[in-house]
Amino acid sequence: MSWYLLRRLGGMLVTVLVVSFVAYLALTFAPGDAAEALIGENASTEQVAALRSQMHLDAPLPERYAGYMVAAITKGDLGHSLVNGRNVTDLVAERILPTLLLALVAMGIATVAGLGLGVLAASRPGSHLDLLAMGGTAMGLAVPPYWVALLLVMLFSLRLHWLPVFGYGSMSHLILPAISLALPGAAMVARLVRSSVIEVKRADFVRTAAAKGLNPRQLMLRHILPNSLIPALTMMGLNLSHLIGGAFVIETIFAWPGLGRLTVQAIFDRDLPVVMGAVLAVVPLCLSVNLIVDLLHGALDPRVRHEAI
Amino acid sequence: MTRQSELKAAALAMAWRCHSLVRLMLSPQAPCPVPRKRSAADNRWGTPAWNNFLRAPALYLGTALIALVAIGALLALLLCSYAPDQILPNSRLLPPGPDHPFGTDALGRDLLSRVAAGAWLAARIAVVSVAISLVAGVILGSLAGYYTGWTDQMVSRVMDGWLSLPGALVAIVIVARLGASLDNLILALGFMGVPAFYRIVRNTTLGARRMPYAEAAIALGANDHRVMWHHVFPNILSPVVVLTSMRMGTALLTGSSLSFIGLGAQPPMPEWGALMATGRNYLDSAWWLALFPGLAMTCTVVGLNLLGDGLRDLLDPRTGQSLGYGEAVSAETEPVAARSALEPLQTGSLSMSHVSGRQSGQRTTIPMKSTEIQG
Repeated sequence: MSWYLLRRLGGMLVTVLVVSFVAYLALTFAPGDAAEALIGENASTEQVAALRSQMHLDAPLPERYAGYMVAAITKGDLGHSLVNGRNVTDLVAERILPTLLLALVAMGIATVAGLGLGVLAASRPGSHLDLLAMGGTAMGLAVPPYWVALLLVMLFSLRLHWLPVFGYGSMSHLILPAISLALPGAAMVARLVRSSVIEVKRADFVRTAAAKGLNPRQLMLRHILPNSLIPALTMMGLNLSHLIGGAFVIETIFAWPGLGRLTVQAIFDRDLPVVMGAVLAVVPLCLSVNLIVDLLHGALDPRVRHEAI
Repeated sequence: MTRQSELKAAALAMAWRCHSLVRLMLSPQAPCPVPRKRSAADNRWGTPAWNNFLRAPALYLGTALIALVAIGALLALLLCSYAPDQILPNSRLLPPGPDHPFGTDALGRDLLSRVAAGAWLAARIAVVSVAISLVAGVILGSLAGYYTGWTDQMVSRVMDGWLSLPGALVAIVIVARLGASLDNLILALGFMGVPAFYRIVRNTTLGARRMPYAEAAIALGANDHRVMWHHVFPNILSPVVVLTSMRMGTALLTGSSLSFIGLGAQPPMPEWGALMATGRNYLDSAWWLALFPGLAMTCTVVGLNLLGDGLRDLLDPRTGQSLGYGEAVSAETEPVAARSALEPLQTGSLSMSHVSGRQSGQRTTIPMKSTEIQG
């Protein structure tokens, strides 16, 4: 187990290093660097060059990357934003919480809705109810979440005036972004729960419990559901890492002060240190969520042997 | 045999495969690959064509939806009297009406013809980006799965890491590197999809090359190329076809979301995501601007997903029949990868019945690594 953990952590470290290097490489060689973006179109070539050397953009690439990573790991220093000069570590730190909040609430909604729908559909496979629920999940997987967000804003904010159009700060600001973000995850969880409930229903221990005379409600709650929840749990964890990394559109629509919006804005500004900082925050976060999910899966399901993976 | 004639033979084999597939779909007497459940509907609608529909309803519904969008877009472009970028100064922000069925935008452009033009952009995005992933994934996957060894180990580790990152993040960094345009977006989406194809091709190739038919070919003296492309590849085509259809939907969704925030197709282009981004500024006054492009998008992606589901039902009888989800699967080798790639929506765990225990219905659960996030 500890060997497995060590191997996974090592793999994570390598992935983070490779990804950060590739991102650094990609963003550094982007046409039109930060100096040009910052100084405006009217500046002369000498002025751009002067600013470049002032910002240390003219050092060789491996040297810059090594310096960057050493500072990031030893001092937690991710550099300064090229646009407003703020410390990137602070910028990223203050954006992580809103993103995590949104992702966790969205995951909660996805879990509850997906579980309910999945169990409902699996209670009578092949029925009209099942068809309807599965049709719904097919829709949920296919609609663009940001389109749903626009429609929800149109209905609940602009027509009914129940909820704010965008912003951050209160519960009511959280509802629309969380629902639109949760939609694909809910559909996935529903499909997964449906198929695993249907399968567990055919297991020998369920037949035994039914033969014993257990009522269907108890059978579902105590035997079928706990056993079919393990794959769903894994799915939810995966969703979480997806939500953290994939919320940029929803955050942009709702002006949610999260990492995604920070990244998108930084890309438009060619603000390399901020983009790098965001990548360095998101990637280890997603990878650790994945690892935790795998460990949890192993802890919940003794049939999983991590050494075999 | 020369390289060219080999390619030609591979193309012929692929064409034949597609031809058989279409024949299977159309012929009323087609051999049924999926053992069909008897249902009440058999007696009511005893016609052979309807039976075919019952076998893989998703396939037909998906095809119908995609055809609906494609034919609708074609008709709109042919019959509509306004060009997609034709500005009508006197008819700005008109609601849907007889003259403009989808209304007009703030510059007075007809939204119907813009959405229709967007359908062709969508087709371009989906087809080209998935073609990039397909070609790269098939070549790398075939080589890694066939030769195994340390190259396989190395490429597989890279692909695992790649797959564990949120796909949108990868696409964002690539677009940020290359600049925001439709072509760069397509390239980024293509890159993003490589690991999914790589994994399914690599894992199924690994299994297929140990099959008796591959061993027989090797014993007969066929060289690696011949075994790889003439014996192994045709036999792993089914999951690849299914994945292709699924990935097209994913590519469209991710691509349009990047266009929506301005990192893809740029405004004058009637890409659906860009159209919705324009509509976002007129949510309170012109609801139609955001509604119709999204509707077209949803129709297309539902169609592609259903097509994938249906193809899986038809091509991969092992995964069972009821709506194609959650039935037991049995696979002789590498079942984890085979199943997970066939069902990109059901990551987490999967069920399989032992080869020996198929009749007794004995089942075990095999976990999947969480590094296997799909797009």
